Amino acid sequence: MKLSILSWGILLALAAPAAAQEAPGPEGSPTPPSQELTVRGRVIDSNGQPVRNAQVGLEGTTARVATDAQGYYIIKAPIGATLVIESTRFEPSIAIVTDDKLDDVVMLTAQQLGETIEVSGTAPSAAPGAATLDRKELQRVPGTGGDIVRALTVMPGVVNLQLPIGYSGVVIRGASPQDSKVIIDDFEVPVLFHNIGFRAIVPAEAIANLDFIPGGFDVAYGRATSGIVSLGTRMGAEKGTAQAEVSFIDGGLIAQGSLGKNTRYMAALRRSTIDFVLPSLIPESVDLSLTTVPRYWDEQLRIDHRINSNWKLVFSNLGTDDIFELYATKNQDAENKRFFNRTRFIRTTAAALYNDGPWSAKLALSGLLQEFTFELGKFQYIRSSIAAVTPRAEVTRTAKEAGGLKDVVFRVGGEANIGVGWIDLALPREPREGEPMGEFDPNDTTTKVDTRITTPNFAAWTALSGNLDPKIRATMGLRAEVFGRPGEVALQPRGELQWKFHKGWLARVAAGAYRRPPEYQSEYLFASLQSERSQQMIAGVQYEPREGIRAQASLYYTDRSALITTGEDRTLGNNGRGTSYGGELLGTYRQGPWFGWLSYSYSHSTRVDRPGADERLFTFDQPHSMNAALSWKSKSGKWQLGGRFQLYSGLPFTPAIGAVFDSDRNIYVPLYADPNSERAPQHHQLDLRIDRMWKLGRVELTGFIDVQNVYANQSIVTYFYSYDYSERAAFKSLPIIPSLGLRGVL
Amino acid sequence: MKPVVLSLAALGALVLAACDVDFDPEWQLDHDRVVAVAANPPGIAAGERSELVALIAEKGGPVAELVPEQAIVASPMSLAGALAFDGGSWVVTAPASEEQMIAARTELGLMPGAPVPLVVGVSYGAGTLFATKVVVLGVAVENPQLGAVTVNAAEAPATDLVVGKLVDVPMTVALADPEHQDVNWLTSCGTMHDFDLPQSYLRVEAEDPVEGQLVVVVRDRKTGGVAWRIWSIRAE
Repeated sequence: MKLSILSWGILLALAAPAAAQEAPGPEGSPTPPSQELTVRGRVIDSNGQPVRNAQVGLEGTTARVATDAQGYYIIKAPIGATLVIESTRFEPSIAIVTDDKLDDVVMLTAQQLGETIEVSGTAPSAAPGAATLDRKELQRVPGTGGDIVRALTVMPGVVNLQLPIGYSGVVIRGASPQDSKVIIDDFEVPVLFHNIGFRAIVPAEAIANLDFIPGGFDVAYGRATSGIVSLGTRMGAEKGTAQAEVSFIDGGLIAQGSLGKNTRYMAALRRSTIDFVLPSLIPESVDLSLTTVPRYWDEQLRIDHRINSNWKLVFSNLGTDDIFELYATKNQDAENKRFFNRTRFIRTTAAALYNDGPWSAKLALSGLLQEFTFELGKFQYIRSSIAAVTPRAEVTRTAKEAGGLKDVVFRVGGEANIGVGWIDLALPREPREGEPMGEFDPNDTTTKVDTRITTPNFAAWTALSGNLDPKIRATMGLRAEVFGRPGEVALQPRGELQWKFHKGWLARVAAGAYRRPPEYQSEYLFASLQSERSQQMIAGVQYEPREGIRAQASLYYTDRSALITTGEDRTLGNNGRGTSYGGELLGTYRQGPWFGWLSYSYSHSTRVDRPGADERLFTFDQPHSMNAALSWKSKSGKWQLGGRFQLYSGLPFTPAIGAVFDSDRNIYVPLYADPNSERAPQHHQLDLRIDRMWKLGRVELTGFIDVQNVYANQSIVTYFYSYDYSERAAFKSLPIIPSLGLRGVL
Repeated sequence: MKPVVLSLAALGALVLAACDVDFDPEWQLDHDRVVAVAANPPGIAAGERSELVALIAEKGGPVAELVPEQAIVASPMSLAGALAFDGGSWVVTAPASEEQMIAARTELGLMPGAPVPLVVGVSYGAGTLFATKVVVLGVAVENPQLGAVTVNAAEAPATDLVVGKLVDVPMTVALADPEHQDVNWLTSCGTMHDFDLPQSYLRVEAEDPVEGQLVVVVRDRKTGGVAWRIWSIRAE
């Protein structure tokens, strides 16, 4: 196929001069609209990289030519005609024929446009070590229950844990969860997973793509010192479909289709089902009352409306609601034994997208309403409500040549993130990263605050990419941020150099400065806190011998400073320092019915909490992590089988070495060894998945069984202690987790 | 603001894991432990004395009220001399001198005239069990009086209890100040449910020991006072 496209391109190229000679237009006069030219142009992405195999055709016709490896195409078209350019990796674009040589057409991803795509090729990653995850392929990864976000754990650099104790986001390169940001359609969301069931807040079917950038991310991203996970929701399909899915964890409906010629919609609603099952699993002898069993809802709505060939509007809405209440007794009047949690948020975004040849722009306005309630016993609680609004704009301009650079891409953008929060809390002192939990005293309300907090944050960025020569491309950018609450101005230069040193090989070096404002949990309570900082250096090489086969390796070093830690006086300050370094390998194979994935990462993360203190490990330091997955799909498409093997180091923990009984408070105050001085053993497991597709009339049915930890390896996650710390027991991973599901598409 | 991020599923898994281990539960008296330390009285005016005594449980043995084997002042260090072993007991004596109290308040960062909490560390079991107890200096405070205790809806007998096997045996204790008082039921006979509520119940299963002891402890969070009561118990 490639040869035939190439031959076709050469043929057109050879024919071009002849065609031009055969039909010369009068000099200085416009070419008649019916005059056909042999038009030559090029298709690139926002980084100036050629887009291979993009399909270029005249609007209203079916004939298409494909771009070559350098992104060039040649097609016959009359002056004034509209060319439609399509690619599986990018949103469609257009170009108006004004000459026989057209400006470069910049293809943007759904993420960049706020639209959606399905990635099936090998998109250039956003940074060395980064990757764009293909929704359909990753749904095939066993052990995820079909949840694409859980499939993040196959990525090198993502910390793996049998159960995600202590966080509901993603931990990248041994840092803390709050150091990385989760973004959906360009805007941050407070949580990535539901409280129970380890399910992402967006179902796989509503996700178009997932970008995983473990470090060295672009100036368009901010407020993070580690990595970025960026999800794009999916534009509704042209053909109307309705889909239902149910499993023991949840069930949902998705409807999508067109409303007229220019409008598409996608609406999804999901509710947990595990709450119907859970009460029956609790033995009668256990002193528990689940007055509100854990349940969750989530919803997604997206409407895309094309105004004309240049403008498009996208409206999206995303919301979740998790609630849970239990009494650690059968006596439901016992307020001191009550636990209650509710987390809900709704984010609404309206975006206007502009695309006209070398110009593209995105203007968006997003609002977030968030509520979080946590109540433990009679005295301890957090009740917070937050309202935030974020206007954001980014303009991109490309040029073939400018200032001695070729294939130039220039971007400029800005964002204001203004939030108002009402926080009422009464809690014990919150332990910081690596600090062991203190004694459990239900009457302890050392931290008591009832206040309103305003967080005005502003950011502006600009970046310039261009080829220094045909093999070397440079990107330089600057992000300027104002964190209003600490009154801090931060300049964060970032850049990358790419070198195509051999056919199929690309070497990359990236470096940059990053900041995270003090807006995580109790950090709001200390007005003097400044942002945490990191400086990242990443070097990587990637090899892509042919479409569908790719390998990449990277080394990184991150220097962290101004880490927020607890001081001698028990207040928070920017006194910590830390470093992370490591290496990552990723190989992917997509050929015919086979899909293979192999990743490995080595990481070492240490920190010093205050000058003079001992160096210690980060809590999520995970030296080794390996994931291997293989999936096969039958020719008929009816069967799909897959397996995944994981092997990774246990995480550090701080052992208790004794306790003193505080008689007045009736609690044991634990005594701990040095922070993170022990490590849990390594874990390995095998997951298997089988999918079977049927047709039942008009309904396409898919049933799946996804079994995690098939040989029931119960390794130790961590340890927990008796009430007086005189005994400890291993908290082990779950022996085997089968997940059954059924999906129907009408 | 980011919410607290302890996954409920993980919490649930921990709870279930905790249910599955063989730790002695918190209400178990058949366990080496300090059940409670009392200062008699818990608050004393200048020049007054307070004696320390603790209720100690021992695996395989009965609970006993014992004088600390060792005791030291943990805080404030300027009042280390307020504790002494005298007449077979550890005794705290509130300083008669206001200068010492001022020095202690300065050390602890307290307001002028404020009572001074003297934290005393005690040890038992030849240095294997440690506990702390606060004696408030500068104000006279009494330990609470234990309210009426009922077992099976009848007033509890003075010393010996007899309960049925394989039945829920309800127990209550009346609290003078429920807002500020906490209760603990402990036993070495059967399973105590809602051991930290004023209304609890005991159930003796077939495999449980049929003889042991029952203790109820009431603590007053406002005053630091404590009171307890001990019964022998038999299930039949």
